[in-house]
Amino acid sequence: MPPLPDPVVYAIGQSADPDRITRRVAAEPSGRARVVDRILLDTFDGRLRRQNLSVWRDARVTWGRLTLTLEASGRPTVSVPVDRPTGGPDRLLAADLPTGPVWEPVREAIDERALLARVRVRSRFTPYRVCDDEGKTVVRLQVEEPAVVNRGGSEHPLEPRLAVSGLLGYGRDHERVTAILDRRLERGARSLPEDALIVAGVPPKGVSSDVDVALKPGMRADRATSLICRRLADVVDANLPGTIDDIDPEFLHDLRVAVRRSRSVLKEMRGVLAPDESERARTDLKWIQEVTGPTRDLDVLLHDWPGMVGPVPASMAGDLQPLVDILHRARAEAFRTMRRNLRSRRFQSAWSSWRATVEHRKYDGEDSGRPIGELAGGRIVAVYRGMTRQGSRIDDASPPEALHDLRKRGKELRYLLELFGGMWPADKVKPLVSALKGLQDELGHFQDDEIQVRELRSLGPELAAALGGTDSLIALGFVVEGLSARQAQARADFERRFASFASDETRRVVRTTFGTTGG
Amino acid sequence: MRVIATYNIKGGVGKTSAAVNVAALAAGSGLRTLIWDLDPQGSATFLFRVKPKVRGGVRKLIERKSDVGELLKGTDIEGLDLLPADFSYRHMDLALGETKKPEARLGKLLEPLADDYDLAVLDCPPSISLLSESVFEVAHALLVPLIPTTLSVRTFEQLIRFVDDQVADPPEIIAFFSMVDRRKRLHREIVDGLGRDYPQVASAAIPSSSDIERMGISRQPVVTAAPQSASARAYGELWAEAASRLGLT
Repeated sequence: MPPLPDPVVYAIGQSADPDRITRRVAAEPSGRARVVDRILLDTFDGRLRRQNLSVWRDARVTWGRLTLTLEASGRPTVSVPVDRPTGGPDRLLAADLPTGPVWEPVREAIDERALLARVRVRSRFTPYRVCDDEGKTVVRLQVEEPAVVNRGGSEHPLEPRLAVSGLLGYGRDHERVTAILDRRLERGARSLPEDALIVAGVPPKGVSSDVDVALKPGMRADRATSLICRRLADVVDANLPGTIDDIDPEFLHDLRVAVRRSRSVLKEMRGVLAPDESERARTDLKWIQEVTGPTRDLDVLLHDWPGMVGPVPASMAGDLQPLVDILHRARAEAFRTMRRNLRSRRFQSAWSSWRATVEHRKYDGEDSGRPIGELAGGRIVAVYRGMTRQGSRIDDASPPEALHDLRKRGKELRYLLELFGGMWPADKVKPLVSALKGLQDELGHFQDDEIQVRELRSLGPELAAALGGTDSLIALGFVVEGLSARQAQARADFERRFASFASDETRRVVRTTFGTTGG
Repeated sequence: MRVIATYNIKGGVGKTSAAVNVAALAAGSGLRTLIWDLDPQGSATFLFRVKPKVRGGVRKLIERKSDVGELLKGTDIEGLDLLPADFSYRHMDLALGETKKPEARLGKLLEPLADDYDLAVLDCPPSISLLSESVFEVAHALLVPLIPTTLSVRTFEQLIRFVDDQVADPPEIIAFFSMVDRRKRLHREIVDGLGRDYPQVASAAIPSSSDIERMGISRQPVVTAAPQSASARAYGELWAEAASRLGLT
């Protein structure tokens, strides 16, 4: 099918007369002008914007119902009423969205993230159309006069725009209309959501947790470490409110990754920070990691739950409800404890101390003046070699701890590559990252399944005492069996993954790439 | 892409009205929708104000010498495109008869559009022919309008038997009463009775209404011309039931 192009959008200027413009192309009004007051929704990290999907909700909430509007390229715009979720009108999860294929791309894009209110826009829409001699629409035009509505209700007008949409089979009419308009108007106004977000001071592509700090191999290690640690601290700060408000599980995930990466930098760049600073920071960050761990473990378990119940016979699936209820209660309890900790004096003190270290560059350890390329490259080689030695000692008789330790080292290598790998050619770094990822995924399955089995077993006594608990325990047996089988498979696949990671070719790439001063 | 066809051996029972209204409602629900007018009378084409002209005629289309995408026309309803009919469609059966596997031909013609649409609505002419067999093969559901008369009930039973006996992977049958006048005792009895006896009969029933007749004047579906009318509401219920059975909601 010939693809229907997206509408051509013209900026028409604040003082322009839409009727005069549309008369030039013999367009007639095709309905009454309407004013729409709506709020653009997106995830914290701008997942919808990045996929060019716009989800709006009407600013008005009536009778516990919200109206959601979806605008997606190549699809008709659709508005549907949904029940107001219990989390409030401005936090919608995938489960709150309409079912069916139309909203599938949105549900997929946001995954576990919540849709949040990003900016409120009030627009006046005036529709026009160009018709043929049968009175049939052959070109659609729409004038939009939008304004961002600020918190106090005042309005900040945005550039009015005219969108000209073609219809299949009437391409010539569309060309004729746009040719006339091209003579007087400028094409290519920014998209309305982007325009509105910029005016409202919201980053259009969302708040990223990526650490894309540009480093040069010759840069002093103290400067490079400072840049990375500051960025990581910013990520924690950005995700802390969403973690405490329990907006969605990704806030906690991103916060924990940033803390773990910071700990990894402290460990691998231990000669850059002054030893006393380094020691205190490591203790503080470790504590933050510990107090946030149980909630995250339960988040992962609940997220993986639908996949974990696969081995349970369909006739017994309902028996697991008491267990699911216990898991949700355990998660709520773990969250309350974590929130208490994150609001505690200890956290305030630990975090402000780490912030002070990061901001004031107390980087006067013995390696602080060395070039970062040489230092980070050396660490990548050393950690890689350590892993190959560690992994080659693992055999069928090795205890699970041996694999867990290897995974921990693997995380450190991964963070080194993610944070410092940009200093080396991507074609050299990527194969190592992909071999490492393959190994880490296997080790991750092995360890996660073990944690989940332990977590589920620990709930046994509580489950036995619950109403319907006996049936639930029997059904749980299938879940645990499935996890154990998966864990055994991960262990069986370890050798193959490790062989690729520790191959002669990978060793050569690591030696020749990172064994130099980088760049 | 899911395919639904409005079908009945009899003419004048509300097939086209159902097709255009269901298609309009599907597009309104955000589904990328195609309506294919298979009837040489071109009533659906007329209702959407599209000129009844198929470049190359039906034979070239069936022989796949025409690009089906080039024949599509956007309608006045956002998200709804039409594959129009013209009078050459009267030769559809002859053209199908000259192909190797006529019953699979409509499916082949729709294949290139499968990624572009979520739903195709086929508006069939009244007959039982090679074309209808091809429709039965490609459709996931048949939307069958029934006028509440004893004869149309008999025809409906024949259709169920035919589809079950003759089609390898039979489409789901969603029958609904059309042109219902609840003031008439016979209508009430048949609607209530058949609804009880056949699970294929939808609970939505389209009333006999001047709003629907006026579609020929307004040249647009009643669901857009008079969205608050009883007829529009009835089509809304029918679409909700069909969408649910087709897994589109």
